[in-house]
Amino acid sequence: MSRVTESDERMAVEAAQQDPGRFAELYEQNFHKVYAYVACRIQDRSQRQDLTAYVFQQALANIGKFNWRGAPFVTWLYRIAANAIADQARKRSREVAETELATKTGVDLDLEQVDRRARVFRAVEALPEDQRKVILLRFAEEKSIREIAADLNRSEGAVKQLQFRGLETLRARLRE
Amino acid sequence: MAERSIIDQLDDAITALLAKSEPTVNEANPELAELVAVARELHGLPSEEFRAALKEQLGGKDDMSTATKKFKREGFYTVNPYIIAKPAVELVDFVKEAFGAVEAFRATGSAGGLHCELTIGDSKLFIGGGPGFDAKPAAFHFYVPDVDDVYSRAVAAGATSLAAPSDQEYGERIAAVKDIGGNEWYIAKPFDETPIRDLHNVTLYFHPVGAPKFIDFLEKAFGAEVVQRHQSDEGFVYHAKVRIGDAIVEMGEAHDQWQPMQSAIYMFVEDVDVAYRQALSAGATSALEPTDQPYGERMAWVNDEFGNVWYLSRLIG
Repeated sequence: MSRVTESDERMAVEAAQQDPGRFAELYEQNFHKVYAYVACRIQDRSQRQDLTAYVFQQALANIGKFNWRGAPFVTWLYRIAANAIADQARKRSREVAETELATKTGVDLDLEQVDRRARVFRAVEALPEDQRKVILLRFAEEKSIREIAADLNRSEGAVKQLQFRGLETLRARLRE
Repeated sequence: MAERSIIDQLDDAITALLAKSEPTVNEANPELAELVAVARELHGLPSEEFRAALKEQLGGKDDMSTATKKFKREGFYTVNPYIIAKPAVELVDFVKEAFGAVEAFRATGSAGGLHCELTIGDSKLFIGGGPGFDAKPAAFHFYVPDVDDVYSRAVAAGATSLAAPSDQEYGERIAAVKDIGGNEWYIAKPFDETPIRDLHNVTLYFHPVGAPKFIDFLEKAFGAEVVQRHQSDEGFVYHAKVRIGDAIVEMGEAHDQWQPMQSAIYMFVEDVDVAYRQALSAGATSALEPTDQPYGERMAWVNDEFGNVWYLSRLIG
């Protein structure tokens, strides 16, 4: 699994600041982390997607205003996400005191948990093809074993086997 | 009954997780427990289609505002401040010198005074009027990269200092000046630079007497939504940010030297007639019924009960 160094990241940010068309690199580097951050907070799948899209849209629109202060770029993205989540929460409950919201929705979320989850998401990409397909259909599309069996034209037993092996592979990779 | 295989037990646990209920895991089987822990982390996995679609969307031009451009002039927001000043010409010179404003357009307005359009950072500002006009000053939260520098330039260009730059514990460095037209500029840089959607460099700041009522008016008249609201248990609004369309306005309850101004606001709305009716039913009074103007906009004016005038406009033709 390739690791992005601080200087790589800095170069990617500067490139995107000069040419927003080069934002794709930052997107690729940070997609799983942002999605994991949002997923730790938001249960609903379509809301997770909307929020993740919003974070990157805002980051792209404001990339020129980003200043390096030693913290990784992703912490800026987390702040955008935290503010957006707080914004949503406020809309739902205008009566909730501001301080209470800040505690619940700030970036004080367990970032180790977010990192761990992002690593799992990223590790799915490297799974053998048949395991990867099953894991994606099961966890990203939230399909049942029966539906996946029909989609892939395999028996339910075979799909369960692939699901089991996929999780075993992931467990082994995450120990590395 | 034969014990279910670990493959089936794992699937049972995953089915429970996906149904957002807590799976029952056989504690005696550590392998199963570890696999369920991985499954727990996988919950919420993004789909490849979503990831690819978002990438494509970000790579293309952001056309989310396409619909709004049809009724707004290019580069303008829903809410745009319109300062009316007696020393209008001098004020234009001041904002150029002090704040680096760029003049985009200047003409004689429909009432015979100056009408000037300027750009400051990402914001537009109208300045109009002249010696024969009643002043409509405004207060602004002016977000800048360097508070001390902008403050010094403002004072050097003739502004009166209201507060020298200082760090405030609520989270920003801020200074305040008053210009020759009586407008107040709260020159600020938040410590936390995370962008807030629709918060622009030049943001109108109101000091209403009765901020909750003013917020209520903005919600009913213009469909505003509260973004931030810090208030005491007694309902005293220390600070609020309220979004109207694609712009945020700010406010704090009037107190001490920070008293209401009677400001003018130029709004672009999708439907002038609807906005006009909504504003009237929210308590505003009519100053001009919706009328097509020779300069290509349909326009209405309303006065709110806090002394502000709202020019409601949309492009026509």
